[in-house]
Amino acid sequence: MRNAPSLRRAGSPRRRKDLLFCLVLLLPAILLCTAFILIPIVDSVAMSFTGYKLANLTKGTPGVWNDFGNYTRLWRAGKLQSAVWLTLGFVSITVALTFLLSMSLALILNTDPKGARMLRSVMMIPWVIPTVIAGLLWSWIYANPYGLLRYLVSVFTSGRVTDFGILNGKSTAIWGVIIAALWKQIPLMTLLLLAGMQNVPDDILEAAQIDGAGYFTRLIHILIPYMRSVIAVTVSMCIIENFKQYPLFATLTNGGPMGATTTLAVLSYDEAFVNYNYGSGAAVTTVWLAIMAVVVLLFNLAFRRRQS
Amino acid sequence: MKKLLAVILTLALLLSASSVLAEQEPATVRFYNYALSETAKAAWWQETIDSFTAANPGMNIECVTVDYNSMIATFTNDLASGLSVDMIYGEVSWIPALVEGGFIQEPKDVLDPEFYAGYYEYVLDQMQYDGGVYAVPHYYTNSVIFVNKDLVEAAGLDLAAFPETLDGLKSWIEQLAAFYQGGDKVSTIFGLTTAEVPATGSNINAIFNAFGGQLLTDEGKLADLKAEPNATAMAEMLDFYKYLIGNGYTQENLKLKDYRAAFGAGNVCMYVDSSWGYAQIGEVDPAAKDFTVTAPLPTQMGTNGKGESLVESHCFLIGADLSEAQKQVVNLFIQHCTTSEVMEGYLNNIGLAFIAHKNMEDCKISPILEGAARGVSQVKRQTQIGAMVSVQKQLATMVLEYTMNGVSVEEAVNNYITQAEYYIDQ
Repeated sequence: MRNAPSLRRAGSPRRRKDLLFCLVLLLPAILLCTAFILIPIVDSVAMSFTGYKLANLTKGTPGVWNDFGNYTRLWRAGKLQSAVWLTLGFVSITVALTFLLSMSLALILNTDPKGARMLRSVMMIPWVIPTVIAGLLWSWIYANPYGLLRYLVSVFTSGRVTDFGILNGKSTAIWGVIIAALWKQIPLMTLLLLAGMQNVPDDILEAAQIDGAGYFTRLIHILIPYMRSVIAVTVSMCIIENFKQYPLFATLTNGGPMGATTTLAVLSYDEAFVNYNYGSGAAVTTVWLAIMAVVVLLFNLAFRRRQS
Repeated sequence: MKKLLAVILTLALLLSASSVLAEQEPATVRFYNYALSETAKAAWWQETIDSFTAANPGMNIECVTVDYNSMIATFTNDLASGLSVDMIYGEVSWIPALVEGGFIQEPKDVLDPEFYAGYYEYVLDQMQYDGGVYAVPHYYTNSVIFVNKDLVEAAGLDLAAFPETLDGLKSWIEQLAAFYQGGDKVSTIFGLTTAEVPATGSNINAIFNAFGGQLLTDEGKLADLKAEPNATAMAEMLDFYKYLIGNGYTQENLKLKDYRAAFGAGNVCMYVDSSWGYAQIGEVDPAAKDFTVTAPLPTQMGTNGKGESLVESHCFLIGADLSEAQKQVVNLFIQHCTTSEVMEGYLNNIGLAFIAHKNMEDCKISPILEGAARGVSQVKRQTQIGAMVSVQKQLATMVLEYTMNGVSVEEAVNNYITQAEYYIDQ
């Protein structure tokens, strides 16, 4: 019974006109999304189930169904599992560190220290620099034997360590990429969090202070709850940004050494554009897409539950 | 009747004029050339193309400048969007992918037979894939040792007595290391690249061949690396890398470009590279020619090795769908680029390399390459396969696993076989 009036409203000529008008306005976006996002995704997922090589692409012939051959081949070689864990590890660590450092910086900037305005402008530099260029800059810093990092390590260890190459070791290479990613991503997240922070009403914070709430109490119980939507958006963006991180890996490690930085992005590129096995590349992309969607969904669900 | 006759005559005139015009319509060839995106080579290419078109009216070369790493992706996109890919300046390792993609045809169907017969067979052999020869070399190199003669001579070593055995080479390395120990002038005594990139892969494969190994069978399958002589060659090669890295004579995970830069800066005594690596050395220090000499790989490397390496070549690949007029342009252009007059300056100043065709026999090769020239034909034929880049790149992973990760020879080789077969059987 409660729906009756709304149904009547929906059925009214005015309502139908409004709906039609909305649809017309939305049509370009729907068409563009379908043509440039939905169809390529569906096409890529379909390709992942076929043997699809360079000849298929150039001669316009369809791929041949290969009984999940691309997935099983990647799985049997252990490449998929290794890339999935590495990607998840990279994303978790980078997102966590980016958030913690950005939040800390935003809190400092929010107290309006001397030179805050200049610092905010300077902080934009890493964000403005294209990721490939940032990767090249860091590759110079990390370079062995002429890099700055190697020199600094040599100085700080009083010459005991003279051949440190962060990208050369299997256990250290991923940290080299993480540091470059943090340098690139912290500025934007800091500024977004700072903007969110500045929207928290001062009177509530002052009232809490008068009531005896300490700094951390105000942070946990007032500031962060007020910033929840900003945090949700920025962290989601950061998760997606790091899931699809390819330029830094390509310029710094190219997946090495010994596969230590072969994430899903690198594996997908290698399969599709180094070995020209587009079907296999699409299989990696499909897994990649699915995991990214699940992670973002879980994050948003968890966030929404806490909010409710 | 007169009017009809006049109309017929006019039409006949128009038709004949249009056929003459059609005959004179210039034939254009779209030439995909990554060298045009490289500063050192771009001016030479433009000049060569300009001189060709000036000498051949009605023949046009339309250059498409593509970054080296984007070449195949660009062809694919261009072909899919209806553009033609008529001629490509590329590398041997691209042949399988381009043949499988239906991009290229055999040059013997395009070039004059007499001219085609002038290519050195041992270089042309490397262009084979799937029963055909799918490219013609512009020039070639095998693996050569770049030597800083100032550093070597300062340590009291005589270049005229450059080692011809692995033990002799190790003795030189140790003498140099002892001489430069503790100083900061020399960063590398004997550089071998181990970074996991395609150029390193082919470099390591060449070293494996120098030790007497063979990576692929003639059928394009992975050779039995556990059978002789491959097993010994592999073990000896891995031990050589461990000897170099373990003793700090070379750094792990460096690219060839890193060694080129360091060599140009005068910090490397010796390292192994392709002859054209000198281009980057010369960019660091134009006076590097004063201290740079080359030597071939020792002719006795381990138990079975004869110091043979593999041919690397910059080559012309010819598009699959050419008209007769375009074939003629391609034929004449390749011949134009394969003469002593055109090539001498290039081979001496821009891309140091060895000649691959009899038409260039009058070309003087660079004095820098004189030392390595005695090993110029010390090359082995290698079957080309589609997954060559990855199969070779995995060699670098194997070397790093053995030298840095403490993995045994057996485990490193087994891991390599698994990875290589993954790519070969795709």
